[in-house]
This record gives sequence, C-alpha cells and structure tokens, in this order.
Amino acid sequence: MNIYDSSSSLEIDKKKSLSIIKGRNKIKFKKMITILSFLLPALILYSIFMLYPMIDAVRFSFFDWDGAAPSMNFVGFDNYIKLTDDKIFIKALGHNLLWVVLSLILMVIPTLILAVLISRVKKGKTFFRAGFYLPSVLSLAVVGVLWSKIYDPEMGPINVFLKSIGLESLAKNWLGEPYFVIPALVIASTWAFYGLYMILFLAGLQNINYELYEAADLDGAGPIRKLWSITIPSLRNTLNVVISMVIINALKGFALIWIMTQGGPFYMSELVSTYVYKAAFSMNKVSYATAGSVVLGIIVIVFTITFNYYRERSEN
Amino acid sequence: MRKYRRYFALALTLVLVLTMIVGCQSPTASSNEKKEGKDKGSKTESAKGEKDNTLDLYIPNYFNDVEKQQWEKAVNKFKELNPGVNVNVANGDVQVESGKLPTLLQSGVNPPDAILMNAGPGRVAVLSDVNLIQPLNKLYEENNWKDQLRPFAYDLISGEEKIYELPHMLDAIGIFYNKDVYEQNGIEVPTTKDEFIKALQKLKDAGVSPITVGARNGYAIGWLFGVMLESVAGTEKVEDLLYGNGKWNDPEVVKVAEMMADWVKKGYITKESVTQTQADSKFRFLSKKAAMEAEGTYLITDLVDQKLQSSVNSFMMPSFIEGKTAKPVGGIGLTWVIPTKAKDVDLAAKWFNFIVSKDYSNIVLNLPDYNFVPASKASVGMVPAGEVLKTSMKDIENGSGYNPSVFIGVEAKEAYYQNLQGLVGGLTKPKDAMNNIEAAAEKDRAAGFKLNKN
Repeated sequence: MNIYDSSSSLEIDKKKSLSIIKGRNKIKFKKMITILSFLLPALILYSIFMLYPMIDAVRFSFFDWDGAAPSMNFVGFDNYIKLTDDKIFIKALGHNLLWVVLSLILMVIPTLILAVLISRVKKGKTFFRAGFYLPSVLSLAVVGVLWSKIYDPEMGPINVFLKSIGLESLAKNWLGEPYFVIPALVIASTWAFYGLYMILFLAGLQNINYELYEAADLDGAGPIRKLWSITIPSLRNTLNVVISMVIINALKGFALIWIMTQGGPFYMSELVSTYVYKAAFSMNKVSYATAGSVVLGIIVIVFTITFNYYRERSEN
Repeated sequence: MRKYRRYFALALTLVLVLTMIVGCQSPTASSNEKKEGKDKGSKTESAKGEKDNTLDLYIPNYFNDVEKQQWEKAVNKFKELNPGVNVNVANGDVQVESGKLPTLLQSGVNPPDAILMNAGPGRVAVLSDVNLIQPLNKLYEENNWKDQLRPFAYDLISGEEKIYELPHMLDAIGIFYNKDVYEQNGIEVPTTKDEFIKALQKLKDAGVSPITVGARNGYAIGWLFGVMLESVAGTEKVEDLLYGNGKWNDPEVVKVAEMMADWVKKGYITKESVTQTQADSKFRFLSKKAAMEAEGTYLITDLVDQKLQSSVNSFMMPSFIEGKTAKPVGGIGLTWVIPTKAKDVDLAAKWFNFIVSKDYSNIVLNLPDYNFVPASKASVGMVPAGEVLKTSMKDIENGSGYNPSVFIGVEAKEAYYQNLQGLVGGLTKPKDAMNNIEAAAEKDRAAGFKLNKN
C-alpha cells in the first residue's frame, strides 16, 4: 500500500463520516421538526392567551392609562410606588395572606380526612363520593347567594339555630363583623372547592399498596399510626398538588367575595383581586390596577416556587 | 402515505391558525365599509343597501313584570309614532360602579344605540372621560332639547362645555313608610325634628325596626345618608360640598355622620343592615318588619306588584334646621347616553325626542304603576295616576336636594360607600369616616374632578 492509497482511503473515510454526520444532523433536524410540530399548536395558544396578556399587563403597569384613551403616559415605577403608599391595597394583601393560611387549615386537612373516611366505606362509596363532590359543580354565583342566606344575621339557619338553643350571644353578623367576615368567606369558599381536592386525594389513596396496611396491621399499628406513617407519606405528591392549588386559588379568589361582600363592609374583606377590579372598572385606573395584579402575580409565583423548592429539597 | 400525512399536518395547522384568527375577531367587528358609513352620516347600511331600521336600547333590569309592561307600552307607542322602526330592548346592569357598563362599552361588542344608565356627573364622567360615550351638543341644538327639559334637570347636566346625557327622570328620594305600622303604633307622619325622633323611639320601644337600609349596596346607604344630610345640614351646605369649597370633614357634615352612628347605637337603624342588600331591605320593609326605608320612586312598581299601594306612602324627613323645609334628594336618577360606537345615532335621537315629548309623558303618567318623575318639561303640570308618584312629583315641584352618590368623583364615591358601611357596622368613627371621604375627594380634585352647574 503506497502513500496515495492511504490518503485516498482517508479521504473516503472523511467523506463517509461527513455524510454520516450530515445524515445524523438531518435526522436530528427532522426530530426537531416533529417535536416542534407537536408543540407548536399548544405553544401558539399558550403564547396568545397566556404569555401575551401577561407581558402586556406588565407593560401597562408602567403607564398611566385609563383603559380607553388612545395614548398612554409612561410613568415608570410610579404605580408601584403608589401601591406601597396605598393603605387599602396593603390591607387587601394582608387579607389575601390570611385567606391563604385559613384555606390551608380548613381545606387540606379536613379534605384529607374526609377522603380517607370515604375510602374506608364498604358500601355506597360512589354515593358519598358524588354527594360530597356536588358543591363543586355549582356555580360560584349560586354558592355566594346560598351562603349569604346561610350567614343572614336574622333569618340565616346558623343564627336561628344558635338562638333556638339559647346561645344568642354566639349569633353574629357573620359577614359584618371584622373578625368573622374573612373566616366566614373562607368557609364558604372551602365548601365550594373541597370536592375537587377530595377527588384528588381519593385518586391518590387508590394508588397506595394495600399490603403496606396489612403489614402494619400485623405489626399492631393503630389507625392514626397508619395515617401518619403510610397514608400521608404515600400521598406526598397529591398533597403537594393540593397545597399548591389551594395557595394559588386562595390568592386569586374573587367571585365569591364579589358576590357576598364586594370587599366590604369598610374594606374588611377587601382582597387584592376585588380592589384591582374596582380600580380598573369602576375608577378607570387600569394601569394602577394592573400594577396591583402584577404584584399579586409575583406573590403567587414566589409562593409556588418557594413551596416546590422546599418540597424537592426535603424529598432529596 | 407519509407525504400525505405531512400535507395533512400542514393543513391542520393552517386550519388551527385560521380558526384562532377568526375566533379572536369580535362577533360584530365593524367593517371599514360600516365605519365609513357611520362617519358620513351615522347611518347603517346593510350589504344590499337597505337601511337597517332597528334601534337597540340598553336599559336597567326589570325589577318585576310591572316595569316590563310599562316599557313595552312606551316602546309600542314609539313604534306607532315611527312606523318601520324596530326596537330591540336589552336589559342589564347600568351602574358604573359595578364595572359592567364600562366593560361592555370597552369591549365594543354589540354597542347599543342608546343606554339608560344611573345618572350623575360622577358616573357619566367615568364613561365620557375615556370617550366611551359621545357628546350630544349638536343633537341638543338640532332638537332643541334644552327647552324640552325641566330647567332643574338641564342645569345639572350642562355645567361643562360638552353635554353627554339626556335626563330621563328625576329622583325623589325620601322616607317611605308603612302606614299600617304607623297606625298600629299611633304615629302620625312627623313634620318636625322632635316628632321624627319621637317616632323612631316609639317604634323601637314597640319592637319594630324603625329604619331598614341595604347598606351592602353602597348606593342604598348613600340614599339614607343623603336624606339625613339634606335634613340636618340643608341644601346650601350640600351644594357647597358638591359644587363649592365645602369639605366632607366640615363639623356640620361630621354631625350627620355622628347622628347616623348614634341611630345605629340606639337601634333606630339595625346594625345588621351593614350586610343587608337593598333587595333584603326592601323585603323587610314591604313585609312590614321595618317601619321606614329611604327610597326613591323606584319602589312604586314593587308596591303595585305586591298590591301595597294603599298601605305605603312617602314623606321627606323633616328639616333639623329651624324654619327650613327639607326637599327630597336626588338629582337625575336615570339618564340616556349614546355610546361612541353606536351604530345609528339618528334613531337614538329619534328615541330621545320621544322621551321628552308629551306623548311619552302622557303614556307613562297615566299608568297607575309608573314609578319615575319624568325630566321633561312636558310632564310639568300633569297629574300622575299613581298616588305615591303624585306625592313625590308634588314634593319636587320646586326642585330637589342632592343625593351625593350621584355627584361625587370615583375615589370619593368608593370611600363614601365603604365608610358609610363602616358607620352602620360600627367599624369606624364618624370623624374618621368623614376624614377618609374628604381624603378621597381630595384625590378626585387633584385628578381634575370639578363639578360645574349652570
């Protein structure tokens, strides 16, 4: 074999490897196109209906705009600075945080217990499941009117019952007193949403290996021990989803409050969502309201990311 | 096959994109042709060149069938006078405060030709400031509406260079009372401050709620406060507050707030009113669980609906100022506006001409269940068939007092409603409440809100 032969074979190898690389690139490109073609419809929808409004909302918050005028004045961070000085907005933020805490307490634990109890029922499980899910199919407008009547200070069943058993001093104007209005609204909201979380818990419970309970029974574990050591750890993923959803829904809550109190009386149930709605649509302060929404959005994102970060860290 | 699959995928993507583009269009997005047509003469021409003679009206929700029938009669008369014109009546929330009306107009979807909305510069300005409704100066000149309105009504809407509304009716908010409850407790209609306070105490002692109010709806607690303000501080003071340099934390105004808080404390106004809606309050009043309610003539249709015309009447709370007579409060209750995007302004103007005409007043005032005092000059001197409306029309023969909710700016109004709720609920002190309202009014002033009157 002479030197020319080896160089020509090298060239052939080079050509071969080049064509292989080209072929691989072509396959990669085709794969990419395939992936993109699957993602594109969702991406287009997501960009138009989610990303674009969100980015636009952030943009509006840097302007002074009434919602209809053809021109907008750029004001930089003015709207955000005004928000820090707005006592009602700060109060509304505080109410939002209280709402989150109460929602977590009233929604996660009782719903989990309810799901565990229903999963234990031998007969009529479907009936209980459907029955307890029923409030979730009602519109929030109906729920709002219903609970307004339940809380009615004179004709509402709660106060009528309390008065009938001689506990008149406990009969309150549930939506009219500062210490009761938010808890009362959270209870109504819990009633409207617990069915959804209960279904999630039930789905999670079905995935737990029953042999774990049998082994625990053999070891003599009681029901509380089994709940604490088997059920809750096995439901970790479901719990994470439920807690995230409760936090997000609590921070975004609007419809029920709007129907039942409109943020009143005297701002006692004002949440950021009701406050920004009034600012945008009753007062024409669209850009100011948008700044308020952006602040709320950031809080929701921070809450969710922090929660998931700690969850992942604890799992690791 | 693969080749076809690709084409199929491409076609599907195209369909998706097209669907989205079409879906994102407003169902009534105007074509350029239509826009041009509107610019030329505010006329709508169909594709075939025929004139679409349909007038779209947007009016408040009917509270009951009586109101619905009244409107049907008025619309039928209009159609009779204008053959070939169709009228579409849509109902909805016409309060600016709830945000629905501005949202409807901002969306630009199916804008009506004319809207009957809750009146007042503080409300109309929310729409006119952002060009959602159009100025009517030219139409006022062409149709001579100035001379066809009661001077009091015209003065209230013509303080600025541009006029945006045509008043439909005048409010006459006073105290409505249950005659039976008064009789059962031996109470006569009070004519002095002392008699009024005595009546409140007597009713309280008898276990009857003297005054009910649906404070959860800001406008309703505003009615009661407006009536109290007129009686205690007087019309001039309120005028100074709304049109002059008056302040909400003026001692005389604070005195009214203190009186309201005191009445709650004494049980003249039930503390539970804070969570009561106007509908709940009306129910309590009409079912005679409460003796009195601050209301406007709106109540008349309910009285007719429930056959209570003979057992309810109204009076104005006596003046607390020696030698003065308090007037029912109000101003303009409902007013007509034309959206900027209205498709047929000519038809809207035709309808407005009908509203200020003698024909309209004749029709409505002869209905025993009619519940508004028309703002037209044509209605002056006419005697309405209904007894309660007769009382109200007589009460405002020489003008009326002011319902502040209608006249204040957006910041002040929100503070006004919330702080009055706070007073009824015992959640704030009178002085603080008035300071809060004044602070909000100052924000409005700083933003350029200023009322002018002719």
